[in-house]
Amino acid sequence: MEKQAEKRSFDVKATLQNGLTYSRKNFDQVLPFILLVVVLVLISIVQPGAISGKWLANKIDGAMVLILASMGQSLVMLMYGTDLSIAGIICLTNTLSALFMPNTPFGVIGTILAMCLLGVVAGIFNGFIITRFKMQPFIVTLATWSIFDGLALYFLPRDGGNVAPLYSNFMMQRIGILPISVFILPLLILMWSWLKRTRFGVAIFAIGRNETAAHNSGINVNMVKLKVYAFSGLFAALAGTYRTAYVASGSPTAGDGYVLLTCCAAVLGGINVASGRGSLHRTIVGAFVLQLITDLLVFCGLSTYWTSLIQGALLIIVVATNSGLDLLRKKRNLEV
Amino acid sequence: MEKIKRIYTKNSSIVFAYIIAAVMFIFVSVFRPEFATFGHVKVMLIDAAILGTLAIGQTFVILIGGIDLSIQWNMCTSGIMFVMLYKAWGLTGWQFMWLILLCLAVTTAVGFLNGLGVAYLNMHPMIMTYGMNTIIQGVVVAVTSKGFPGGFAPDEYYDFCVGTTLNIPNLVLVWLVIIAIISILLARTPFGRKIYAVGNSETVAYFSGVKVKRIKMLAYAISGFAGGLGGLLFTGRIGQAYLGMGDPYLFQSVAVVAIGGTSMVGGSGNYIGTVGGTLILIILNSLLSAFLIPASWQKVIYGILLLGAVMLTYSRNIKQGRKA
Amino acid sequence: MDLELKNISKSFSGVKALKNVNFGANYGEVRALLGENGAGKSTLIKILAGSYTADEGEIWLDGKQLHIKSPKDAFEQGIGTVYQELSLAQNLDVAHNVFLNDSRLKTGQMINRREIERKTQELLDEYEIDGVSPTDIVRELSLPYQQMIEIIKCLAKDPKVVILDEATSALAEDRVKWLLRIARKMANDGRIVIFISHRMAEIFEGCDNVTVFRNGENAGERVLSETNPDDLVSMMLGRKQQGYYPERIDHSTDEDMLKIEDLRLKEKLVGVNLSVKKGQVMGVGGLAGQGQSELFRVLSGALVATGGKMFVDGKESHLKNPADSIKNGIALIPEDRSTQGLILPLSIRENIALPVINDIKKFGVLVDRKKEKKIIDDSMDILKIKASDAEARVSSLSGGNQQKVVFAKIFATNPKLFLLYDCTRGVDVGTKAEIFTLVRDLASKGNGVLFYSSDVEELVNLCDSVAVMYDGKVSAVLDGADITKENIILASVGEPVIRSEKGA
Repeated sequence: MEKQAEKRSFDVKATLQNGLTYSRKNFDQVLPFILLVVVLVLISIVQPGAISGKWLANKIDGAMVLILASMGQSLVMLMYGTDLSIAGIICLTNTLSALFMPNTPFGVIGTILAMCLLGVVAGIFNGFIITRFKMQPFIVTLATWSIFDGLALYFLPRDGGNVAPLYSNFMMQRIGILPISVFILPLLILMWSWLKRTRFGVAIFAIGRNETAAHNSGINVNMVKLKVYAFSGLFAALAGTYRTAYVASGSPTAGDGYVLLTCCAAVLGGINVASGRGSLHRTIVGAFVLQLITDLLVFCGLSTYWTSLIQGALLIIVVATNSGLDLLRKKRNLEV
Repeated sequence: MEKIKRIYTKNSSIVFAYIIAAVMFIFVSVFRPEFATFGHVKVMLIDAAILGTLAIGQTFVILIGGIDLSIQWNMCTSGIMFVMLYKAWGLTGWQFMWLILLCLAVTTAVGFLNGLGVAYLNMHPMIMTYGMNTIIQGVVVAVTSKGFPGGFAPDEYYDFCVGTTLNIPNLVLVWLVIIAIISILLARTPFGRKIYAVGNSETVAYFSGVKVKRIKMLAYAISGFAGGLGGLLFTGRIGQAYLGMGDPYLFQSVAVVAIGGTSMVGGSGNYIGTVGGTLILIILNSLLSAFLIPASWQKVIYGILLLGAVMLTYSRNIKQGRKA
Repeated sequence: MDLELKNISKSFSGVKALKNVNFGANYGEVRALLGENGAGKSTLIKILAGSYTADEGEIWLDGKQLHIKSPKDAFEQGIGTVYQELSLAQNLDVAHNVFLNDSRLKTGQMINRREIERKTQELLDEYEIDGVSPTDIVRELSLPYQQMIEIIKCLAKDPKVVILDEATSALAEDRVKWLLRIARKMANDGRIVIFISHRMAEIFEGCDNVTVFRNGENAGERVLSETNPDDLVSMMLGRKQQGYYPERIDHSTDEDMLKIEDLRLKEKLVGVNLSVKKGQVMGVGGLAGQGQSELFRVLSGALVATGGKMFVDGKESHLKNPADSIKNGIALIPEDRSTQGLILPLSIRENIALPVINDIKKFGVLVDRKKEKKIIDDSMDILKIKASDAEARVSSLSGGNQQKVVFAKIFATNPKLFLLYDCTRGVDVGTKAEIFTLVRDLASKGNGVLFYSSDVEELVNLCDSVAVMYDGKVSAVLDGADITKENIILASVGEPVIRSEKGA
């Protein structure tokens, strides 16, 4: 009996030690969870008693747009690119779904699907030009950002639109204390669990910054890139469509700031551009944490300028650390 | 004759840009005669001078293979700093000259920070400069939140900026001087040579003894400086500074460099091209307003224009044997 | 023959790398591919592996013609290659790498992690690799282990033909024995194994037959049990085209221009001792990958040594970057002129002026065009660079002229020590002769020259002494009458040299 207890306690110690070593070596991956704990602690200090089931439900609703948009940006970042057009796609899908969604079940579903298709097409357009003309992603997506923004502005010059009540009511209802958005989370989690195990998902990580090695292994790099941008467009569209329900209106400036926000969320969630590692599960956490931080700052009376400052600072600090550490590693391994 | 022919082929896209600008101008003037009046041309040239100045930095940065997305708020910072401090320190008359230097120092420092991250920490230029853009935005908005409805530029300064000498707007004269300086810098100095070397091949430049990281950092510093200068010119032109005055320039500074034939992966192109691109964009601006094209379609057109310009430069460079 | 490559020809920029080559092998055999650098074996292998496409010729396997246009095609048609430059995904674990891009999976089908881990473990066991588990992340494995995983990755596709392209270069001694065993096993399992190596001992120990390449042609085949190293060496050398070599007057003085003591660089250089006297042309020989490239990179400042000392003209030097070494009077002609030596899209003038651009200033800020023109004109004159004028783009020049521009570049910096790395590769005969004269000329002026060439003939005829590198060290220094082709090749493959009484 004693020996068993001894053995068990020893195992706990070993597990803890393993955990610490893992955390030290993979700090960028553990970061989102550490931040989550820190933020929750801060919130409970600043707003005692705030954290409750109802509160959590509201928070998840509020973070969902960012969570969805960050999924796509994360994958693009893993391939050493950035998708600036996400902001434009959010604007466009938000305004279109606010204007044209019929107030019938079929209408709602049909519009959602149409928006998804739109996002995919936009993404494929991006991906096609980037791969076919071997362009820098930022320049192509900068251009398409302008195009999508312009289209959104054309359809809806001012905030407004007539959001189908069927849609927004459905999305914002509560089942008990659980919001509908809580049911989206497991879908996302499952989606990534599945995607990362497919050939496509593995190929994303295999390519990273070293496209030649991947090509030598027989991977069709251009096809993977195309799909990644399509994915990004799809999730930007989902984000914009969700926003329609959440804010119950359309806005041609709906996407403002989402470029920075999604990059920041991805990076806080452990997407490490320098080493090519990351996971969409952790991005979800990162996006959620970023939303909490923003809300916390607002609650503390710091207006929007502080929030954007801190968001920008967080982004730079984390990426600088990742890049710096990667440089050190390269020096150690003699890669000139 | 050989020499002229060679200069033409090397800079064909730049010549092309000027031809397009001229064609556009003529085209619009036919339909809207008031377009071609001397007064209107003066206005357009002043706008071009401002945009062109802002695009100096972007030109350098893109030539070494990067991008600067912090021009938007950097230019806003210098303008707002200028008017705020002028009032706050109770300056009068021509004392604003010192203030100009201070504002430029601040924006150049921002550029240095960008360069530090990109060149020495090997960070992705887009992330570094866009993050910095957001940080500066936060700072400027924070500082002005305590009661800043907008400020006014000093009278003497404003008079200079909207004034003319020999019927040519002062700002345009300033721009011409700048064009000369920058062109000489790129074409005739060791620094310029190193910029092109680094933009074409960091490896070869490195083996040839060029301090690659330093050159990259300087390019970003120049961008910070140019952003600050552009902001000051803008403030002088309209007589005041306001939040958000830099917003259109994020896209436009990149677009004019691309339209001017500079390759987006670095190594080829020059400021004369950017000037051509600037003229095209300003004329296009006016053209779209003259034909009452709404803001939404303007955005779409700009996006398509940028894509087209980049694809064109790509195919031309491929034919010349470059990477892109 | 089961595998046949018929009439394969391939040219690069006008230079013929393979001329009408016929090559074959049978199931169950381990066939070695031997030849000097540039003899064509690497090109042939890359064609078989799908990295290059042949200009002419056909590939036949099992009586069926293969059409290979990409690495993927090669895999799918049964050709497995273990690359020299690793093709592993650093972020993934061993199992995912071994089964990367498994074509059996349909779109959207999930990879069964347990299955690939099990299969990877089976492969690891079957091929006697221990110390690695299928769940280890590749990035954390040392290079030798990564090389072994490369091999397993190739085998996982069950190829009919296995190409091992210098697969032993990254392996330690005991692992080399392992690899030879594995190669034998692969052959016994019914595959064709093509084994490229520079090491005679390995070839004789592990292979059945050998094909020797020379000058882009198949120089002959032997059964290994019926031949010996000398026979193979003479096949490698054959009767080469005699270049024109200038008279070799020994200008070596007693003073050292360069002295290296126990130079170390991780596992690539394990204690190099070498000195180059003023006025001496010191050749560096040995087959590719023995540390020559690293040595030159350390001397030129591109890599920083991890141990040992270096003295340039009597002064101890710590070179942290190429700018440092240029300041110390060291000039480098790099390995690959198109990616390291020249900026191809720029003009001759811009390239030559770059290293000295800081020193030809007017008014402190501008480039002094007159001085620049003088430097350029002088260089183009002295080196007889053939171009319309200095504004011509370097990419439009022939290989020989391009190399001359590289020389012109370094002359402008007034160096005392010249590091010439394979500077005659891809250069025509006429230009080579000019370069040889130049090299002797440099020495006669009291400079030190370190001359690495993959062409043994050049080393023999051009150099005052030759240091042969093998396995990260200098295996032999040959002087005077000891400098013979045979000795150089022997030292290159790890065999002892034959010294005459007069030699050191």
